[in-house]
Amino acid sequence: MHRTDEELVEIAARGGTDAFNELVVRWERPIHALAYRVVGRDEDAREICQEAFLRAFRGLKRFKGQAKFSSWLYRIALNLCHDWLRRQRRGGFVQPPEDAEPGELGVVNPINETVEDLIIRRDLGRAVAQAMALLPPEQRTVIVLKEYHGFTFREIAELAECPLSTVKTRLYQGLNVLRKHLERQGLSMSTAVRPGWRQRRAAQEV
Amino acid sequence: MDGIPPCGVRDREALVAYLYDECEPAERERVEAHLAVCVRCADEVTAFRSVRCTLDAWTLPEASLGLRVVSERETRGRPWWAFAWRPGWGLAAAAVAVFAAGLFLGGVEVQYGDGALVLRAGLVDYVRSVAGTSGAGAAAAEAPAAVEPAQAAAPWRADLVALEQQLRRELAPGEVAPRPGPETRAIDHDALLLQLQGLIAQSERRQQQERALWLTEFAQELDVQRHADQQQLRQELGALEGVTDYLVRVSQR
Repeated sequence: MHRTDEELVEIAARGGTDAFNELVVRWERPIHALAYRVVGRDEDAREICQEAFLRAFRGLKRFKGQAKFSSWLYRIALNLCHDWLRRQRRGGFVQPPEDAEPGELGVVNPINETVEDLIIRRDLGRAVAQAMALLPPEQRTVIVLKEYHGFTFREIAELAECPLSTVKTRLYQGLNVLRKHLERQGLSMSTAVRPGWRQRRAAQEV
Repeated sequence: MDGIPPCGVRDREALVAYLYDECEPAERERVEAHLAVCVRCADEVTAFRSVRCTLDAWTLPEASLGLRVVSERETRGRPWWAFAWRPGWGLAAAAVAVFAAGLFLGGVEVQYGDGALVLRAGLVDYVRSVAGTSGAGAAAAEAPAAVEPAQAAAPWRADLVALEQQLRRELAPGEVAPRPGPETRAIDHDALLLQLQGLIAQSERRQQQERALWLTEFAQELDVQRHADQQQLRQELGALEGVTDYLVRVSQR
């Protein structure tokens, strides 16, 4: 029987660990994906993901359903990501994004994709990761939330706690930086060859 | 574009809203009309669409997170070995046991001092006692004075004498020559004893070399295995620590 997040939250708040575990299974990949793309490192993303669920579990009784559970969880994770980024900046060093692992190619692997396509996609993925690392955290976060999680401008404004116009401006600026960087690298993908990755990726990640 | 200054600050927001299809129909029409006459904005929208396609290439690493909340009762009920026993530990324990057995069988002596680690293989004590008698060989130089009382009671001396007598009998069965006097006998005895000791020392050295070679090969294999085990252990421990830390914090809630 499929239960909504809110139903599961209600049961979990009464001590039902199984219900909470169902929420974990449902949301761990999106939260990990968010953290990975914002901080750029898998190991740290895992820690952030774990900590986000721990905080959510501890705060269940305080969660009164004033927002969707997922939005609340995303906000916790985003705060943790920003804390992590602040610590990195304070520490005086910025870690480069990790190179894509070979295994990640299997995440989205269209059956009819040739080896050449795979290699091109891997190179593009690395270039995108490097370009994203160039963005200020605010712009990167907005682009990640919009591009990879499909939030609306209004939802992003609530999550990022900023005005709607700021969200659009950050998106514009971020896309502009990415565009220039990718063009300098001689990399960009024509809309004509877009192989429906977005739909497949969304299905895999969520 | 009516009501919107061309390519001004407000254009950016309108372009982004249009790009992501999050604008009112009226605004969409206005933007489309503007794009029809403004090449710069039209190019920008095309370029942004291309960037958005490229962003799709950034996929995620394979992640099996396996996070799970457990109740305190569940944690307490778990047997201790569920946390402690992992296949990696078994491999490590087996490797240590094999190594210890090798050390025992090889008669390995390990000394550390004067900034150097000395590893000797072979029947060290036995070589020392033999070399102590002959006064020759590398081991003799290292043999402490305390070895002397032990060699006086060495059981092999009687055996050597018996062997010498047997050899004499076998080498000269039909000899009619007068039996050697006590002085000649003493000289031959010493010469034969020295010869035998030399043979034994050679044999020991050969054995020592063979054991050292075997131990070196074994140590190399063990080292390779140890590295592989350590790497596996590190990975498993990393995962285990993450989960354990999470469980502990949840159980301490």
